Amino acid sequence: MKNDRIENLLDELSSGLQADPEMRMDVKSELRTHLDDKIAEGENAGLSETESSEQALKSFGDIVAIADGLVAANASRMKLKARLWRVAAILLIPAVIICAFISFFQLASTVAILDIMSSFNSNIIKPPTWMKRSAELFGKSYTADECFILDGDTTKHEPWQQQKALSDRFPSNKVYLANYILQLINAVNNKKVTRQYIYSELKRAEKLDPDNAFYNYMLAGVMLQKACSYKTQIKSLKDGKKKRKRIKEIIDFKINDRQLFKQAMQEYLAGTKKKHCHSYSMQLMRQRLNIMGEPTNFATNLDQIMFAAGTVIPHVSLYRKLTQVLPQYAKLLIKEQTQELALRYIQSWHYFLQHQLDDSDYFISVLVLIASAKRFADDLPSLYQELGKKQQAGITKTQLLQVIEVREIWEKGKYDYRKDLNKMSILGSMILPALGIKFSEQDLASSRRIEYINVEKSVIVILNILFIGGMLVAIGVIVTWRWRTGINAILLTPPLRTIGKIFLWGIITPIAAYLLISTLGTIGGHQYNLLYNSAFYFQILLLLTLMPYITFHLAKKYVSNRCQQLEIGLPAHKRWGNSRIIILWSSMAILTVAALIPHAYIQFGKVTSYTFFTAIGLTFIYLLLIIVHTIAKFLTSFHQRQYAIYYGALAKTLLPIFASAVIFLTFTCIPYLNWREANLIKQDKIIFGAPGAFTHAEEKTVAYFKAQLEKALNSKPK
Amino acid sequence: MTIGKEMTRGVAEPIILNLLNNKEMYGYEIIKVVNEKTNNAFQWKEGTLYPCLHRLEAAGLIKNEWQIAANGKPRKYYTLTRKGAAELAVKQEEWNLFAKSVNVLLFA
Repeated sequence: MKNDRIENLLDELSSGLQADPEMRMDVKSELRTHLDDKIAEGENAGLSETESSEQALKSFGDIVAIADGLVAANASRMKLKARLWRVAAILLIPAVIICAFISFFQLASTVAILDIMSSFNSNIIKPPTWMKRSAELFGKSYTADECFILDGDTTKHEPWQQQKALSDRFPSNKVYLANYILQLINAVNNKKVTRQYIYSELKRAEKLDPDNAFYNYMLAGVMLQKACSYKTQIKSLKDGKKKRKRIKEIIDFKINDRQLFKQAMQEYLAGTKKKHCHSYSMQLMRQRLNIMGEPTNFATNLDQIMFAAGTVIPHVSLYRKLTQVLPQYAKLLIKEQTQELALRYIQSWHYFLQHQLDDSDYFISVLVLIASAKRFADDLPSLYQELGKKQQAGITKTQLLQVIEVREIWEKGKYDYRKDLNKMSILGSMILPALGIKFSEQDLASSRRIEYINVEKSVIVILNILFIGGMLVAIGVIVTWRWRTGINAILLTPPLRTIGKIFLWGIITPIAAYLLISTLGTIGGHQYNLLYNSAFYFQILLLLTLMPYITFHLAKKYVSNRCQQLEIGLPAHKRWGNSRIIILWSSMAILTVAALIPHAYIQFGKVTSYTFFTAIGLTFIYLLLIIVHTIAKFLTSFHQRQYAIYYGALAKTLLPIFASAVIFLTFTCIPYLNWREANLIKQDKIIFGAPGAFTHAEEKTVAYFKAQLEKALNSKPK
Repeated sequence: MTIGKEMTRGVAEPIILNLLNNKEMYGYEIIKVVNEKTNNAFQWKEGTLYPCLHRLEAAGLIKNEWQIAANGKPRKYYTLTRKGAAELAVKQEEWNLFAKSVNVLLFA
């Protein structure tokens, strides 16, 4: 009865503040305490409870005047607050939607990276059309002509038809012509393409680019595939005297069609007389990569690497075929007493290798060239001898041995990459070891860091998903309680200081802690690549669990305090509640130490599956516990009808806090990581940001080989 | 003898500011102190105090802080802000001048 009268009075006094439920409750709570004090004082003075209450209520005087006074005193604040929340809602809602889009976009690029990486590992080469997509994802748009140059005519089914369309559209372009021919040769075993068609197209190409030996060699090579067979077999023979095994190569060479064979060899010889030899494969790749634009992030760069890796090079195996057949044909001609013709073929080797060198833009083509020299060195000097050309035999032997020596010198100085495997980026460890170059710590760091940045971006996206998920749950809570109790959720406006505190401890501190740990090499393990750094999983776990937890905990703490001030009923605080954060921190510390134990193995060069299973297993258990705990809490709260106002207020207050967290993470962390990534791609000297080439490292290696081979091929005997 | 409402209305704000200058106080405490110190010559009521406190707070001259008492009851304490302290000094000077002027006119 007494309470009802007090509550009625308070309702009347605060009736003008209805527009701001929080302020109304605040005023009511303040006046309620005042009344309680006054009643207690009356009782202390000897009045009965009823008398004392009566007196206290009367002392308030003119209720309407006080209510008006309170409205007048608070009107400006209420208006300002309402306006601020309206502006905040107008800004926050679209900003969160934008953030969700940015996060989705980042997630899509991560999926694209994983997809490319997995296809890279399994050697499935994706068609160029697919490659373009990721660049388009990053805002790149292509004109119709650029699309045509990148893909050819995609309405056609076969790759050679697609590329023929490109060549037909630009008939005077030698690069597109060679590209079409390469695709055509690649389709040599395709039943839809007849050999006669390939021969005729090669003849046509020869006429269009008459100074280029490439078409002669290709025609010869394709013809030889049909005209002869060449097989080698390695046999180990026992040397009786030295009791040692000797390896001998047995060549099984057969001519199936002498007429076609002769025609092919004539075509080859015609090629050796031409000015130059170019498949223009690298030129086309560069043109296409230029269209795709300078890579600024991992995904687009990976696309370009994949694009370059997917370049078809069937001509290299045809060069090899010609190298195998040439000595065999010379032998045959000597046997058939056509020495003069045999000599012409033998002498052609130098022009052929020089042409092959002109057209060696890839590491693999350089190695094939050296293998060709090895094949020639086995036979040609002795054939010269047979023809009585001793001097030429000597010069040829010297030059070919010097060519072979280039590889031997490289082999000797080849760096044992296994020492650096855990320091190389994952991508680097897939493509660099073959080159045998030693890279400095600094060089290895940038490409490794790029991979870390991409995982860090994914972590930010996951955090955004967690916060946005939290917001959706909060909306669900607000709607559910409204439906169950008819009470509208109250928004409790946290003061700026509280917002600052939530951000400092919930968002900034975990990020700063991660940055600190990741820059401390030994603890953070960032001196190893992602696969070798088990401690990294825990650093991520720290961010993923602590950030939402601390933010939620501090917001909840604020709401609980405020509800206590406003005398809103809230569930009983468990005694250990306040120490929950300490428990969380200590469990994280213990788990981190557990993660560091396997991590320490790496320091001694040992990597076992234990490393991963410990890290992933513990992470999984930990996350599972958190999920179970959250669901349990949520379900318990569902039955606590008496605390509807508290749960509604908590949910509604969490909305702007979580929204701000999402906006903060999206507009600070993601741009910062993108900026760092773009810088690192510019800085990288091994893999990333190669201007229209496969990788910097391959480009350098090929340049080194070409210079050495040029010198060796044109060396003069002393 | 008590002082009329019209007389106290103008001085309520400087008095609150001065009280809060010495220590943090809650509403009921302010009324009690004012009434006691003036031997009930001032008889402040809730209707005088709370709108006045809220006005001062809206103007940024005082700020509040909720404290939870041992019995779990929340109590709103008010303290003076820097702006409030400056305002108090101005008001005190203003009052001095006002009092002197009124004295001259009333008792000369």
